[in-house]
Amino acid sequence: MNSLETILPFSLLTQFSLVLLFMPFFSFLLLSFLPLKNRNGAFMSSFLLFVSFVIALFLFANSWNNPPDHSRWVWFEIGNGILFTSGIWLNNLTVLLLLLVTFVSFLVHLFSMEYMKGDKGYNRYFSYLGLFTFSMLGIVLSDNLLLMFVFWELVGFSSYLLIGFWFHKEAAAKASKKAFLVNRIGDLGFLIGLMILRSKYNTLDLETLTSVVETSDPSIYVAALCLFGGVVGKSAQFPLLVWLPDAMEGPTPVSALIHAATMVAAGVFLLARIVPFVPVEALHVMALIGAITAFMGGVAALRQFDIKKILAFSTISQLGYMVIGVGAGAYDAAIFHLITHAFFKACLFLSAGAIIHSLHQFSSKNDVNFDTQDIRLMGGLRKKMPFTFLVFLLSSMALMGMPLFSGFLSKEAILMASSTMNIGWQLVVPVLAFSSVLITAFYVTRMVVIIFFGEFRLPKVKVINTPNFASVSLIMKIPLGLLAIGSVFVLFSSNPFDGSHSWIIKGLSSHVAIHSAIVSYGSITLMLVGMGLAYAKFKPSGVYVQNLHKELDYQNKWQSLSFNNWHLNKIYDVVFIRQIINIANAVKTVEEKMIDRIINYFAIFNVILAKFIGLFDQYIVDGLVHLSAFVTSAIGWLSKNIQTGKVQTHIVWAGLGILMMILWFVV
Amino acid sequence: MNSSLLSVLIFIPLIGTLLVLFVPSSQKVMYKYIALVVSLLQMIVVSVLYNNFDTQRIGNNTLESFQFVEKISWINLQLGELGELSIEYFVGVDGISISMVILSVFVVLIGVLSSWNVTEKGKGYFALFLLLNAAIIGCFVALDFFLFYLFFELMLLPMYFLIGIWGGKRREYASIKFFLYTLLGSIFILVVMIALYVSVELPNGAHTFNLLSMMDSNNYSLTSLLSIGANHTILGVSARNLAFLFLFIGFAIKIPVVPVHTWLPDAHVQAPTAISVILAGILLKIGGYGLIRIAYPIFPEAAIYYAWLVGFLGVVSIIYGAFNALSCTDLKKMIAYSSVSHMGFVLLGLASLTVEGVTGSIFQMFSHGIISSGLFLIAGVVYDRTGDRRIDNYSGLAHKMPKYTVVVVMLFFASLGLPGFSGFIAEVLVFLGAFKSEVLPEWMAISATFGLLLGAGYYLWTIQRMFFGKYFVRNTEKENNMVDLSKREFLMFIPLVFFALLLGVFPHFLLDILNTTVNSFIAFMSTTGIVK
Repeated sequence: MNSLETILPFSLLTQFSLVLLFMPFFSFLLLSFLPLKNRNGAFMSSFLLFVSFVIALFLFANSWNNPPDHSRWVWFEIGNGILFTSGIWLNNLTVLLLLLVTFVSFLVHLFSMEYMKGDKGYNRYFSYLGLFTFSMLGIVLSDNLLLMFVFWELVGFSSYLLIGFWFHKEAAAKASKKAFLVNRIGDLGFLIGLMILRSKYNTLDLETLTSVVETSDPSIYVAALCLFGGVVGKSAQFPLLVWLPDAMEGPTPVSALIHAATMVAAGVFLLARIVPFVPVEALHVMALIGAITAFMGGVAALRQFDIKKILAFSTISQLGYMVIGVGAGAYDAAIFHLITHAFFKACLFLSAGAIIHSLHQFSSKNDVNFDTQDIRLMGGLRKKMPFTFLVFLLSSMALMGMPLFSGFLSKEAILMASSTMNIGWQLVVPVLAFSSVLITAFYVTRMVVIIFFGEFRLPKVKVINTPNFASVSLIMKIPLGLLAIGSVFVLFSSNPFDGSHSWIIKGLSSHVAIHSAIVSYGSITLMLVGMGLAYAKFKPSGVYVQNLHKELDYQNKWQSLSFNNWHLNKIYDVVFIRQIINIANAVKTVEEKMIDRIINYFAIFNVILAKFIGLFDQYIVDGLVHLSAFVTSAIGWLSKNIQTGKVQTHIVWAGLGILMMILWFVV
Repeated sequence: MNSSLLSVLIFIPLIGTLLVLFVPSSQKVMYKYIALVVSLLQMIVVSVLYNNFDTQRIGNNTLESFQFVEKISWINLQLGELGELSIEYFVGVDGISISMVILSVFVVLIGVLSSWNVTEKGKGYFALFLLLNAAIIGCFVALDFFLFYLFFELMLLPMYFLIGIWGGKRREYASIKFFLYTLLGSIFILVVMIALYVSVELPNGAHTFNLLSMMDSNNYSLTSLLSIGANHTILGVSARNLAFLFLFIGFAIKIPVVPVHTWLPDAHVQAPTAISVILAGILLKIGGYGLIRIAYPIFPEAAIYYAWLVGFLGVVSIIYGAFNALSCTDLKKMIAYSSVSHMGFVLLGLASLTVEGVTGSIFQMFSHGIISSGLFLIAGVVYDRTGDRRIDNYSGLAHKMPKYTVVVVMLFFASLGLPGFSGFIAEVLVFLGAFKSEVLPEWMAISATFGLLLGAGYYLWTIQRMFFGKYFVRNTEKENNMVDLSKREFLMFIPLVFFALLLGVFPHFLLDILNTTVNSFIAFMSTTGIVK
């Protein structure tokens, strides 16, 4: 029963990959253990990340469109030759993601240097970022599912640390716990998937699995859906999408890195890795889940007033799109969307961070307290923060899927693929996907208009003495600018209207991507309708916006449904969490009132039994002893009295004795 | 290779006990130093053992392939018709037992360090502690059933007094409960031991307590009670199956397995920190070790027959223990129940009778030994400061005790199976083994995964309540005591965390010594177990 995997030699590229992988890990170690002052730690970790990024560029240049490079060695061995290997598998998908992760992580490091200035846990923050980046790169580089699971869990752990970074906040502590637990539910699925694959095929190596798995096998269908469970957790798909909005309790640059560009995308990446051996039926289930997620996330984003919550629900919705892409058979389109989304969503989050940062300074300068993330109190920021407005606008366009922007290209590719699912129930997928286009355009327009246009609404509710905004510093502007450039089409395709010509799509798949003009026109129309509707309602001169600072969270059950994310938290609380706690308490009762009580009664029974035995012992056993002693002493007393020492008595007794002997022998 | 090393390992602490008894009470400080020196000497001996251990030798059921063997005839009695009674001082190690010996010596050292502040009746404490130390090592290296039983019982005595005298408020109740419970288990083992002794007859006509002889079905006289061919039944159950069940019950109480586990939470809650560490770190493993060394290879066919039951009780322990931990308000009790849950994995892996499962099972024992020692130290830290372990009575400790918080987070995550820590490797192996096992249904492995979720639940909930949020301590009188870890405390945690990480990243340090033995164990079980 030897494993199928053979040892593959250590290539030069592997060595570089390992250096790239461990740079952020060193950053984690150094910042955890060295007593660094001021911003030295942040500079060091940013530098290490930059080295990683340069290596990623080098790997990209050497590997893109070249044959895959696979190195594999033994991690550990059990029994006699049952191997668990680890290795690095560089192909187009790997190097593309390496580039993305190192780039965004580096930019977030830069941005955070300014954003986190003055925080007590400055070094701790950067060390966590290093640990996260290390884990994320590990997922990308892993050549087998077990190793991927290892890093997968580490990503969950570092995300736990980062969400709960401000642990003194009750909400942050709760959100971090929730994120880890909800992810773990999905991870159980991942683990069961691993068990099925390993027991069936005796390997978890991705390249080997691709060649040995028969997709017609029903157990692979189950295994694929189990692995998909992990994706549902990590990529916040329905029904496990509840953790991501809460995760916004973490620092905003963290949200940009983890909850927009990388960690949540890991699920989609996993799907892209396993897609060669996933049966079509399983893919269709995935597409359906993705479509439901895209729609639900979009609807939930409609009625949020917290800028980060809007972006979080939007991320859920966009992740849904990516899963639709994989499910509809176009994983290349899904990865394409993953990349473009990483740019524009990271840009949106960081811009939100810039706004929050400025408002925060504004609040301390004016000595007023207000929720710096509430868009009801913003407005007119276009003039106060022109640079932020520009980059926010560019990336919003990309998010909506406006032609000439990157999001258009990738979203088109996914919509094209989804439109091929048009038989029976599968029709649900394109219907939800296309309606989400309208919804996306609506909430994005709402967000942009309310934040940046009209007048600044904060003075309506608070007394403001110095209305000037501090300008956004250069170290924050650089990441914003770079990411905004990535939101424009030029980086990805020469043809701004046809995503199928993109070098990413061409590099990832061999088949020719379909392109249909109807789909394009349809989606553009839907987007314009969404924008129009939103503008009609939220135009700065309108009644709604004029009274926005007084607007409640929700007024009717429809608004409540969106604001409270379909009431999923409440439902899960009643259906699962309380039940688990009830079971735990019931088990405790069983433990104390039954099992332990039986034991105690058993002990008491024994004590009572012992008492009875004691009585028995005292009166019967001991009684017998006493009786026999009494008898003995009575006999002794008798015989004692015989021995009187008087000759006459002796003769009488002797005579009696002789008489008895005569009687004995004669009769 | 000096072959009396194992005896040295057993007798160093016994000499230490004598020394402690001879040192006058006026020199109290000496006691702990004696215990420390003993542990350090043992560490040296163990490292020599580890370095000279030949990983290619099988052990398991063949005398020749055991290492560091000492076999001295000890008691020989002519018993007339019953033949010759022969008890041997027979010790030796293979991959499985040496790993437990290493663990024991290591955990005992941590135990000594955590006893540093024991001053009350120090003489008695350290004398008993050293006696316990000797008994533990003896238990893991004995290859004669009688000798094993002797050490097994010898552990109870010091444990009883250590909990009963140095324990918490309800120490008497807990210590008696512990003692009686375990004694009940011992009686089951004793019955089987005598039955085995009578049934096993060597070619020269002598009866023996030699465990290895008991593993060979040719040594059973044909008509004897436990002979494989004879098919004796007692109350309708095959005698051999019954004997296996008796041994299983005896060791299950020690592990402990639900539903015979209720002594554990009480014993842990009442025991002083160091004794909890020894209890969770080592004593529980003797149950699992006993199954692997004695119950399974002597009754392989019964082990296969009852695999379902063993696996099922493993799953029940995992989930039942986890639910109980979730409902606990006392930090130490929660950790005690988490032990029940984690020891369930040992049972599940063993029941699978696959290389993966059994390796995982032993790995889990080792890993749990390290991690749970740390967890009980954690509970000791707050208790030392305020005498209060209620989770609700603390909040936001991370502000005041950052080092402590780091240690807690690391060990909690290690215990909930985060990759990078040893628990992950163990659990993954157990899962893979249990799932592919031919004797266990697949739903067992699948439902056991639920334990991982609950595990994450109770640990993270505890972290959130005790360490995050605003700083608050209910016991305001002793609030001044809430200082971060002292150097000594920190020093205890470092090696625990280090080894948990080392084995999580480089599991081969342990696997190398286990592999050959486990492989032959599985081969032995599958060849002898099928014969019906």
